[in-house]
Parts: sequence; structure tokens; C-alpha cells
Amino acid sequence: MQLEDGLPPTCTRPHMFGHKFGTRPSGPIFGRSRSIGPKVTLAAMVLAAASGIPARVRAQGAADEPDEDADQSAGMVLDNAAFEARLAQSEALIRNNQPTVQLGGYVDFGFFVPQGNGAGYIEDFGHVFFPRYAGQFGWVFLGDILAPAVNSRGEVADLGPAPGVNRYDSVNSRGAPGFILNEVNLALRSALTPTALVSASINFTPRTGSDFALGDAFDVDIAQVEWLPTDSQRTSLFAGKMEPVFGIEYRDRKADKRFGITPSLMSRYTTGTALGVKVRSKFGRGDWLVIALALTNGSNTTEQFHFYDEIDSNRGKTGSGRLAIRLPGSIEIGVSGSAGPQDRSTDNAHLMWFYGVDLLTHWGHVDLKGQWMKGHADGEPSQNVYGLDLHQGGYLEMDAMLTSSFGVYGRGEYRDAFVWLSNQRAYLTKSWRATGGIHWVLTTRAVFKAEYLRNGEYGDIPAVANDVFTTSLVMGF
Amino acid sequence: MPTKIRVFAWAALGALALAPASVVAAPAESADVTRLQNDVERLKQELAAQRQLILQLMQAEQQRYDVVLKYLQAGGSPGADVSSAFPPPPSPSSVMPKSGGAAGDTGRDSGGGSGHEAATITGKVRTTGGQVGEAYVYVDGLRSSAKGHTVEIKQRDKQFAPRVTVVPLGTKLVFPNQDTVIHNVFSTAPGNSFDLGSVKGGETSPPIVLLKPGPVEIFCNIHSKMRADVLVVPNNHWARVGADGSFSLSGVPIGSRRVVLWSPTLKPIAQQVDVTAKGGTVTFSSEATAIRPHLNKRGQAYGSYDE
Repeated sequence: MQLEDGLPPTCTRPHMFGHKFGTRPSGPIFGRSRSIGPKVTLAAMVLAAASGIPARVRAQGAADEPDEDADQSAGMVLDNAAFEARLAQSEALIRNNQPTVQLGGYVDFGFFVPQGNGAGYIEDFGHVFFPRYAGQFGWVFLGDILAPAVNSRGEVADLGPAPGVNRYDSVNSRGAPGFILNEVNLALRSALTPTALVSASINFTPRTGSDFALGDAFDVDIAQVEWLPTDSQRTSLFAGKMEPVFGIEYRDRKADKRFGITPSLMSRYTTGTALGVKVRSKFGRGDWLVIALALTNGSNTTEQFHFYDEIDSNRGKTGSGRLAIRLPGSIEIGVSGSAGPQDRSTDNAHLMWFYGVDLLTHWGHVDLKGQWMKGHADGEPSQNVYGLDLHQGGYLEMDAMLTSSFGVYGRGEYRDAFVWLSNQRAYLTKSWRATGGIHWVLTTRAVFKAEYLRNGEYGDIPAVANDVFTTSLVMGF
Repeated sequence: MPTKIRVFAWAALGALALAPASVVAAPAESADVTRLQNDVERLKQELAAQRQLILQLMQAEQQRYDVVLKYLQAGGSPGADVSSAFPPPPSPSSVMPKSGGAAGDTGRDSGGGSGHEAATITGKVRTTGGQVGEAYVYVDGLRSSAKGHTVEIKQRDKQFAPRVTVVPLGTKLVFPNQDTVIHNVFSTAPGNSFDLGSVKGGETSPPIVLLKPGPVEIFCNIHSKMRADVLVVPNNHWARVGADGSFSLSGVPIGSRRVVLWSPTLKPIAQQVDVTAKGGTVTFSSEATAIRPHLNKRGQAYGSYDE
């Protein structure tokens, strides 16, 4: 039966009626027709319903009707309103049985191939390359410790054999290629009211243990409530551990949101989630003006970096904000800034600040995004707190979908920074990086990505062999 | 088992539909010709109405199955009640005329019109607080059959295109995703709710049929700024209101008719119009309304970081 194409062939042959039921039309048959018709109709309806005809009835119903406007009139056999009421009850049943918590998340699995020993820096033994630091710092390192990233978390292939510190080297590949379960993310979301949303994001990271202890870890990067108090829903108030307001990279910091795999060299300053409160509001026609302000314990540096305080160790809080303008042609330009007491310092005497500009455009199947920024942190030798001079740094990234499923991307970036800890150690960075990769949408819940990071140095800093090829298969659930 | 039952069911249904033809072919007594012809006409109408009813019942059941199935698969996909102040569609008893009525006659026409004659309704829309925009008028209370048309509403640049559409009852809607991002098209309009789930760029989900006259607001569960407004009209008596607010509805059966003004940006309003052989006139005065933010398919706000 070709139900999709209209009524079945049997319905187009008049003789079938007589043969099937043995009734030849005659005068008195009209009486029978009136009595048989509804019964057969009911029988057909019941049988049709039982046989699954509804699954295909849409096309049939549409194709079977006459072309002219019928304005039909006839008596009712059954109460159609009862079925409508039943449908409404079904819809209400579903609405009223919604789960209180929505679960989501993803598994991010990859394979990476680092260059060299996997570390992003080398030691300037004997101050050969930079003798001017000979009397200032015991150890001087050249390069970028976070350059050879292998995943969206920003974890590097190896932290290297840095003397004088005992670090948790989460990947610790020592230069060997290998598989890695980058992250298992569990996202939870619930609505206190239709406009008050509670959400959390928990990341599980299975890693190598040591000394008979498991190396697996988990971290909570989001635990917040968002309330949209106005009818326009253009203003949101946040409280908890939440996304930053600085720049734009935080929006796709997670593996399931990021077009590529690894974060930019600037992400360490802008994508960390901090505890506090935040307000974000949109103004004007088409939301052309966006203002976001936050007051948090510390800065929006990432948790693995030197400058992060989940629980504040000083009384002062960090203020941050971003003002963005959306121009015609899907262009968004923003300026961001943050300032507050130095993270991990116990007093408010030392300032830590960042500012920058960002750009986000969307043209057809191409996205262009970029950021430039500067920053400074005084450091506090007596409290073992790092200092920072981010002279400047930035990136420009282009993501392009060539087909509906396949895309390519490229990113160029640089970072000019100096990080120090009292007179013990210093990291001198003048790095550039070129990244290229592919983005392949396998299904609505699975994306495969592969990219190559070409890390380089400039400004008299010797080349560090720390390129990385890495892949990521992100599977949502 | 299902195939056998389907064959039998459709055979029965088809035979029933063809019964009058057989009956007409039969020899009849000359004295009863007039009565027989009347009976035939009435039976035709009954059968057509019954078939329409069967289809509607099946479609309603199908939609219910779909909704329940989606619920079971997704662990619940409830929608918010976003029903507007739109006047409710007529009940079946009001659109289905009484048995024995002339063709084209309707339940709204309580005895005035013959139903075979038609005229033109002309009118004007005046608005306060804004312009007319994309507005439509249609005659309520008359029910036409499904036409089998298919209408595309594309998803492109994270917007629906077209954003406003008018379709006759029973029209199939398809939603090709011409973006490179995933969309999740849904509607919580009572009686017309659906959820297409996640659809990749370049793909088109199976068609859906809107079964209930009235406005249907369609959204994407991922991108909060995507919105399409579809007006499901019960018949072909509809027209777009001109920029100057004027409109004309031709071919409207004579009688007392209910004309409805609808626009996504106007407060919906309905008026009763007496359509005579000379036609009818109506003037609407409506006020502009802002399009308010909507909730996602779970009845929750999207949050400020959704696009």
C-alpha cells in the first residue's frame, strides 16, 4: 500500500465495494447505506488506528483532498472536541511531568603528538641568553609553559623538569604521543522559576596516579544561579561560580562549544570562572549595546595558572566589566577591564589589572574573532606570590564551515610577557603560535577535530621544540 | 498483522467512500429521482465530513503519539503555555453544519444565506501605537479541506525564512536547516505543538502538519532570537492587509461571517460581518504589541548567553 501517495488502489475501484460485501446498488440500498456507512466508518477508523495508519496519515490526508474550497457540511458522528481535549490533556501531562533537573555534558577523547619533551620552555642555564637577569633571578626560563596545549582545558603535554617546584603535571607525557580522555563533563540545569535558572558544570579528568594514589580529579567550573528579573529578559543577575565578563573567549571555552581544540595564549587570563556576583544587560534596538559587570573573589585567570584565587585570601574584591557594541553586519566590538587586589596576596596593597579589546564577526559561514590585551600584577615576594607583566598579547581566529558538516579554522597569536616569583625564578616569553585544524560534525552529538599548533619564539629567545598535533572527539549526551 | 489490517481498513474506508457512486449508478424509480438526488448529495456530504473527521482524529492521535514518544525519548520535553489572546478556533459543531444543509452552508450561517452565493468583504485596519506591518485577515467558521501543499520555512543565518507565513489547515511544513549549526525547532502552541529535535546543518527534518487553526509561534530551542509566526487558516478566505491598511476578501459565502485580523505585532481581533450579495465591509481598530521574549521548550528562560 502506498499510503504516502494517496489512497490505496482498492479505493479507486468501484467494483470492490460490491464484490467485497455482496451488495449491488438498488433503490432500497440507500437505507442500508445510511446505516452501514457510519458503522463501516467506525470500523475502518478503529482498524486504521490499530494498524498504525496514523503514522502515515499526514501525507495521505493532504493529498486526498479536492482542490476546490469545499466548505463542507455534514453531521458529526463522533465528538471531535473530545479528541482535542484528549490531546490537550496529553500535552498538559507532559508539561506537568517535566524533570526538575536536565542532565547534559560530553565526553572529550583525543590523541596527541607532542614535539620534543612536551614542555613549552627551556632553562637559560648560566644566563647565557639573557645575562642581564644573572643577578636578579636564580632560574630563568625561556618560552611559554602553557604553549604546548593538547586539549580545550589548556593542559600541556608536559610541564617539564622545572627545578625548585613540585607541580602537578596532569598529562606528564614526557614527549610521548598518546591517547587522553581530556574531560568528562556533566552539566546540570534546573529552573527555580521559569526565569531563575540554576546550573552547574562538573569536569572529571582521569589522569595518571602517583605513589599508589589515583590521579583522577574533578573540578566544578560552574555553579551559579541566573535570574532574569525583567519581562524583556534582557538583564541577567548571576551569583555563584560563573563565567567571566572579560573578552569573548570564555563563551567557547568548553570543548563542546569550541570550534577548534586548544585555547588561545590569552585564555589563561580571561576564561577562568570565579566566585561572585554579576549583572549583564542589553540595551537598544537589536541589543546593540551590552554591558556586563562583575564583582568576584579574584581575577578570571585559569585555575591552573599562577594567579587564581578560588577562595579569596584578601579582603578586597576584583571588579571587572565589558562594554560591547553590536554594529550592522554582525560585528561586535568590545572593551574589557578588570582590577583588584593581587590574587593570592593577603593584603590589598598590590594591584592586579587587565584590559583589552575584542572583535567578533559573523559572515555567512565564516566567523572571525580576535582579542588584544595587556595586564599587570605586582607580585609579593614575602608571600610567595607571582608577579606578571603582560606587555601585550592577542589572537585572531577564523572559523569557516566549508560544507554543512566540515569546516576549517586557523588562528594566529602572540604573547609578550614576563612572570616572576621574588628573586627565585622568572619566565621570559616572546612567543607566537600558528594553529590550523579541521572541524567535522559527525552527528548532532559528535564532533571530531584535529589541529596542529606551530609554536615559535621571537626577540632573541631560542626556539623551543614544542609543536603539538592533537585531536579531539567530543561526544555529547 | 499491521499490513493486513491496514489493507482491510483502507479497503473498508475506500469502499465506504465510493458507496454513493455505486448508489448513483443504480436504477432508481422515476418518482424518487428528486429525493434520491437530495439523498445522494447529503450522503456525499456526510461521507466527506466523516472522512475529514477520520483524518482529523488520526492526525490528533498521531500528534499525541508523537508528543508522548518525544517525551519518552527525551525524558520529557514539555512546553510552556505561550498561547496568545488569539480568539479560540471554532468548535467542530460550529464549523460542521447541520446534516441536510446545503453545500457551502455553515454552522455560522444560521439560516440566512444560501451558501452557493459568494461576495467580497472589503475593509480597513487602523492601528494605534505602531504600523500595520505584516497583517492578515481571514474568515473564521468555514472549514476547507487540506490541500496537500508543502511549505518550507528555512533556517538561515540563525533566523527563520520566511518569518511570517499563512498556511491552510493541513498544509505540510518542512524546516530545512541551511545553516552550519544545529537547530532544534519547536512550538508549544496548544494543539499544534511539536519538537523536531536536533537537526544538523544541511538536513531537513520530517514534515509536520498543523492541525488546528490559529497562530503558531515557532522557535529554536538553541537560538533564542529565532522566531517564526505561522497562521493556520481554516479555509482559503484570507488576504494580506496592504500597507495602507486596506484588504479585500473575495468569494466569501453569503451570510454572517466572522472575520479575524491577525499579525505578530498587532493585538488579534475578530468581528462579525453580514455578507450580502453586495458584499460586506468591516473596519478593525487594533493596537500594536511588542513581541515578547519566549521561553524554551521546557518552559524556561534561555539565559543571557544564548544567542
